[in-house]
Amino acid sequence: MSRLVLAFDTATEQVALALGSRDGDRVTTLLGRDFPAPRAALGVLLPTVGELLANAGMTISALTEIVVGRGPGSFTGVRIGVATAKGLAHGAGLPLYGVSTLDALAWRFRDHDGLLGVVGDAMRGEVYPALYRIACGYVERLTPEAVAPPERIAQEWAALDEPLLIAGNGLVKYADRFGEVGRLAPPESWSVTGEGLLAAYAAHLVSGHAGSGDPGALLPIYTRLSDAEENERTRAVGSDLPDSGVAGPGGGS
Amino acid sequence: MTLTVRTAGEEATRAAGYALAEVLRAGDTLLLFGDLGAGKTALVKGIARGLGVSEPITSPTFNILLVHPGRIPLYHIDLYRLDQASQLEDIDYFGTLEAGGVTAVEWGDRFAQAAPPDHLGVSIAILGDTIREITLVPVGPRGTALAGQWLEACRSIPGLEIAR
Repeated sequence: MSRLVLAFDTATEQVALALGSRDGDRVTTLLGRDFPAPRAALGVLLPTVGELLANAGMTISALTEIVVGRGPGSFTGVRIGVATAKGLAHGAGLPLYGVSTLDALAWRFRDHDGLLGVVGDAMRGEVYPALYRIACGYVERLTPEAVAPPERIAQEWAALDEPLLIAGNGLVKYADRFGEVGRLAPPESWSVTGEGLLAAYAAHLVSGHAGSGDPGALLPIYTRLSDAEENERTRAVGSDLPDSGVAGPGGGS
Repeated sequence: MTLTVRTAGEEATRAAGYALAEVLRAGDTLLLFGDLGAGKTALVKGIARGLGVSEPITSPTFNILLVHPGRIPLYHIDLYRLDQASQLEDIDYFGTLEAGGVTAVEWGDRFAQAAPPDHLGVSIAILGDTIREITLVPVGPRGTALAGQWLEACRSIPGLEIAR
C-alpha cells in the first residue's frame, strides 16, 4: 500500500510544499505549491498545508511521514520550517526526515546532464555553494555544506574544466559574477520546489541515508558559525594552522 | 568630516527623524547611539511617522525587534538586552538588515559585528535639559549619501541648527 508524504521548505523566501505518494523508494508528486512569501512563512505555512490536504481530499491523519528542508537559508526561515515540521511530526506521531534545501533545488535539474552549481543567498555578502554531477536522472552531490564569499566560489568554479549550469537564489544578487563562470538557469528555476524536496527525499531512500525518522534527532543546517563560535574554534585549534584553515564553516548537521 | 545637527527639544528631534524618513530607501540601516534619555526613540518616532507608520512606537527594549508596516517597513531593533554578539544570529539580525525595509538599531554600537559595511551611524549627545546634538557618522557610499541628503532636508526645519 502506498504511503502519503508531506514535504515543505521555508528556508528561503520561497515557500515550497508538496504531497507525494511513496511506494518503497519511489516517490510521486500528487500536488505541489510553491510561492514567494518574504518574511511571511510563519503565517502561511500551516494554512497552506491544510489547503493542500483539503485539495487532495485528505486530512493529516492520512499522512505517513513528513519531509522538511533543513536549510541552509535564512536563520528565521530554517527555524520556522524545522520547528513546524517537528511539531507536526510529534503531534501526529509521524516520522520526520530532512533534506538539504540546496539538494532539493538541485533535483529540479535532474534532466540536465553534466555539472550543476547551486548558490544560495547566505546574506552578509556570502553564498551557500554546492556542486552536483547530474547524469541519467540522478543528482550526485560533490561538495559539503559551506558558506563562502561569491568571488571565491566564482573563481573555483571558473577553474573547473567543464561546462557548468548555475542556479540558486544567490544569483539574484550575484548573477553578473556567476554569469562569467557558467550558464545561468532561467530565473524562474532559482528557487526550491515541493517536487524537488520529494525527489531529494527519494534519493535518500535509495541510498539509505534518510535517517532514523526521529523528529527529535533532526537538526537544521545553519552552516555559518556565529562569530563567538568561530573565535572559540580559533582559540581551540591554536596557532599551528593558517588563518584560512581555522574559522571555516562546520558541517552544520 | 563631522556633521552635526543641534535640536532644541524632543519635538525637534522627531522633526529631524521625519526629515530623515523622506530620504530613506528600502535596505538602509541606521545605527543609533546615545545615553538613556538622549532621544534615540524620539528620532525613530519621527522616522516612523515619515515612513507612514500609523501604529505607536515604543522602545523595543524587551521585544528586541518590532516590525512596523509603512510605506517602507520599519524594523526597530534594540540591542541593549543582548549579552553577546552570537545572539545577533538568534534574532536573525543580519536577515532583518537585508529584508527590504529600513532598520533602525538602538544601542547599535553594542557589538562591532552589528555594523553592516554600509550604514549611517547616528550619535545623540545630551547637551542640556532639552538640547541634543546629533552627530552623523556615515560608513560606506550609501551612508555618506544619506547623511548629506538628511542634512539638506533638515535645513528648512525650525528648531534645528546645522554645523558641518
